[in-house]
Amino acid sequence: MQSRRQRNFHRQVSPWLARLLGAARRQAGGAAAEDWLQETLLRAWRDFDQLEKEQAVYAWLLKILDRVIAEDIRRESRRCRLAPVVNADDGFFESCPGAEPGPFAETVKSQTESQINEAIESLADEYRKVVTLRDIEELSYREIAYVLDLPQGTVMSRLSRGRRLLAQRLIKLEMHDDDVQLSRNE
Amino acid sequence: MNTINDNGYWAQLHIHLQDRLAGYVDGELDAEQRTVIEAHLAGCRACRADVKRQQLLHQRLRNQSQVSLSASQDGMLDRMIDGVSGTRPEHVSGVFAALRVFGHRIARVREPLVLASGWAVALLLAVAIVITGHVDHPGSGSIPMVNDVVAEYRNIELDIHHQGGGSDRITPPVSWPGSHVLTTWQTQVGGAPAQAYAVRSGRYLLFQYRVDEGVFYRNPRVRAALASEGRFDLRSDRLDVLALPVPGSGVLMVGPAGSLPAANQLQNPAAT
Repeated sequence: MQSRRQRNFHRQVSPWLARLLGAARRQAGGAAAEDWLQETLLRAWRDFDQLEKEQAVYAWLLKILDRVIAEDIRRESRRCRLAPVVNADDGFFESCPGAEPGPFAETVKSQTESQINEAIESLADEYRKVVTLRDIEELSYREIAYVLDLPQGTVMSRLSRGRRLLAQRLIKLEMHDDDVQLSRNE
Repeated sequence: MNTINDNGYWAQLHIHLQDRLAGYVDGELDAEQRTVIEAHLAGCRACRADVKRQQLLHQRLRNQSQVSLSASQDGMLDRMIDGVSGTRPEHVSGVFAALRVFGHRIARVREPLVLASGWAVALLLAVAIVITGHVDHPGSGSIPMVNDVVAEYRNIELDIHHQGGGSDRITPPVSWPGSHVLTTWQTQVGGAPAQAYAVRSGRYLLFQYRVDEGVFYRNPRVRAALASEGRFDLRSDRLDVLALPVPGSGVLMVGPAGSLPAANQLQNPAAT
């Protein structure tokens, strides 16, 4: 028979499991994502009593997941991509017709889900995390700041830069696709 | 209209405000900040385009969060949360537990009992003769799985039809040059089913156990050692015990002190 603690844990955590697995998968392939989810749940269960009533459960779980992933990356000595100091170049957007809102809308629409995911994965960790948490997980800046232990102002600037870099990647991807199509037609 | 190539104050302001455009798009600015941004947008075509691109990206990406799971994946998540909430919270250590129980992997098909058979002499390998008289096993502390394999090693008697070069029909979890599997059987380790293998290595007889993940990673000492060293070693009286992670389970090896193979000799067929 389940204890009250178990029932509460199930009630509050179960609704988020699929999304949490999705969030983990966006950081790595299948097996690692499931491992991370498993460890996240273990820690969540251990620290469940510390979850405050007004706290958003999903943001709390994402914060644990983020730490689990960070520790795993350190443990595995995987190379952590550092954020470049430079922002996406204004010159690129000014000189590229595909950066105009109309063509860019078409670009965004035409990309497949896996192409979008690849473009997100290619971002440096600092940018990928905020873009994912905001645009995919739809967390508020306050929640992202809580998950990543960052000031809200930093969340905002990283998100601005991350989206610019992501837009640049997608535009380049589209340009490359067009080149490939052209060469096939020739 | 200003252009972003202008030098001086305008360019600095442009770069500064560019970092706030996400906040503007997401409605995260206060009224004063919004007014400043809107004043800038009125004169900056580049930032207006940036805002539009950010809006388009946000709209597109929010659809990425849809996760559709198959029935089996749903079941896996159910088992995972059941398994997690079935543990005692104080027993969950801070060590990364990619090394821990994964309910979805536990449901592996156990190999049926296969006995090596062969041409040669039937050997009665009475392990109790090799290691006599010790029924307690100090050093294993409160690690039930270690207690179990040590106890079995000390007490079991195997009636083995020894096959000269070992049996190629039996694949143990771990092998090394010169090791020959003699037989395998099912047993219980840490309260869960486990597959045992008797292996001859030189003049020694060793036992190997493929142990359920939930059992293997249950003890914090073992987990900590696996996380830091990749293996857990224990010498208990005149026996050596070695714990090694393998995909989907764990392996325990037990044999006389000094008989276990060196780390660089080990081959793990399951990992290749």
